[in-house]
Amino acid sequence: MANLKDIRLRIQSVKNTQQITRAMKMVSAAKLRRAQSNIINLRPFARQILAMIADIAVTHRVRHPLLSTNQNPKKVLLVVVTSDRGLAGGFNNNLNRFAHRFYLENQKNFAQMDLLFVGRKGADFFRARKLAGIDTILNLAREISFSLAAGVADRLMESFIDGGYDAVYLIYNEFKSAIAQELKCERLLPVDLSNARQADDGKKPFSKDMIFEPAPELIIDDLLKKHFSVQVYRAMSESVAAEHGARMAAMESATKNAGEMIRSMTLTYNKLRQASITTELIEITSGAEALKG
Amino acid sequence: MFVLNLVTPDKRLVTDTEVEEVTVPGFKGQLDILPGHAPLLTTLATGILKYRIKDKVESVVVSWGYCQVNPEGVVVLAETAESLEEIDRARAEAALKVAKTKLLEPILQPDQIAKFQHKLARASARLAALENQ
Repeated sequence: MANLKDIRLRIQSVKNTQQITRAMKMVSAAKLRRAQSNIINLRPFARQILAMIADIAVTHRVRHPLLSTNQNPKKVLLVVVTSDRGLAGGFNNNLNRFAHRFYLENQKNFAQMDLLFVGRKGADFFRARKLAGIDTILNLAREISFSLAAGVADRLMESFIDGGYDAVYLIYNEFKSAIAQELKCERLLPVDLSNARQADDGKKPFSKDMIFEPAPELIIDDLLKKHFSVQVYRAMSESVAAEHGARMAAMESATKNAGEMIRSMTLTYNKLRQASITTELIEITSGAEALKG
Repeated sequence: MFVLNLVTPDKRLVTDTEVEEVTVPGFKGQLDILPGHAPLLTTLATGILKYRIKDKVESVVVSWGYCQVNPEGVVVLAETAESLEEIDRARAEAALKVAKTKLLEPILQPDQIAKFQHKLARASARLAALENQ
């Protein structure tokens, strides 16, 4: 049986841990609020750009390298977005397992499949499975800015236009609510316009007599590039918001579990203490009885 | 009257607001949009976007973006948009000075020239918006 001092020490240590998890929860909640408003503001912008592209592409049959679909993609790039830091429940693990499965399932279909990691956890996971990525981008949660995303987007776009890759897929956690994320696998390039019209439902169809300043070909080139960087930025922001949400939920349940542990240990402690007091009293009284003789 | 939407990646500055008139810095110059305007899609230059609600005129400084005019309203997508209260005069003045001196330097890469010209345009648009309020 554990003695009193041991239990007291354990209770104290669990209490300390609980304090940490509670603080982490608070921090995540604050960060989540910022990330959440960020993503909610970004979504309409991303949707509008795509709707505009779809409008122009449909009415003008514009050809553009970013739109051309290769029927038989050979070289494919997989972008895996995770977080740099752990302690976020199943956030990274679920995503990594999903990405790994995707990788294994599609390995036969494509001649070559390269990986690019955003966030340390994804790179670590795949390194343990002897799969190296072509690059890893870190420090996402600390400073997620449009220029950072645009830089990544530029590099992806270059490798796509130069003929390096036939398709670019993006795997990330989409932010649903503070406690729920959804695993998403999207084809980033070539740009998929099939969902665009849906996103824009309820609106009147695009007028054919539209005036363009400058010419539609020039506009769509600019728009597509912008759309692509916005998509990358959006995926990163979604992932950051989802990460903070997942961490908040994980820390919440950790705090609750610690409370449960403290409660049960305190009970054991009190029982033991009472037992030892009883034993002591018995010893004293029986000693006094013996002296009386 | 028609509906104006002004969206940037960071925020929705104007959402489904009924306005009488919108003036945007278009690709070919200042462009005034009144109800019943023909459908139009233009890129935006860096400059001041104005919209009028009843008799109140609001100014916003925008840079890079699109303006789409539909029968149902106007949608403006801008990369950055700042209302007058958000403009920091001292910073804009400093940026203007830096851009001006940089552009005078003899050895500049073409992309650097474009970058500083952009900065110059943005800083002067901000200051102009403050002057005209």
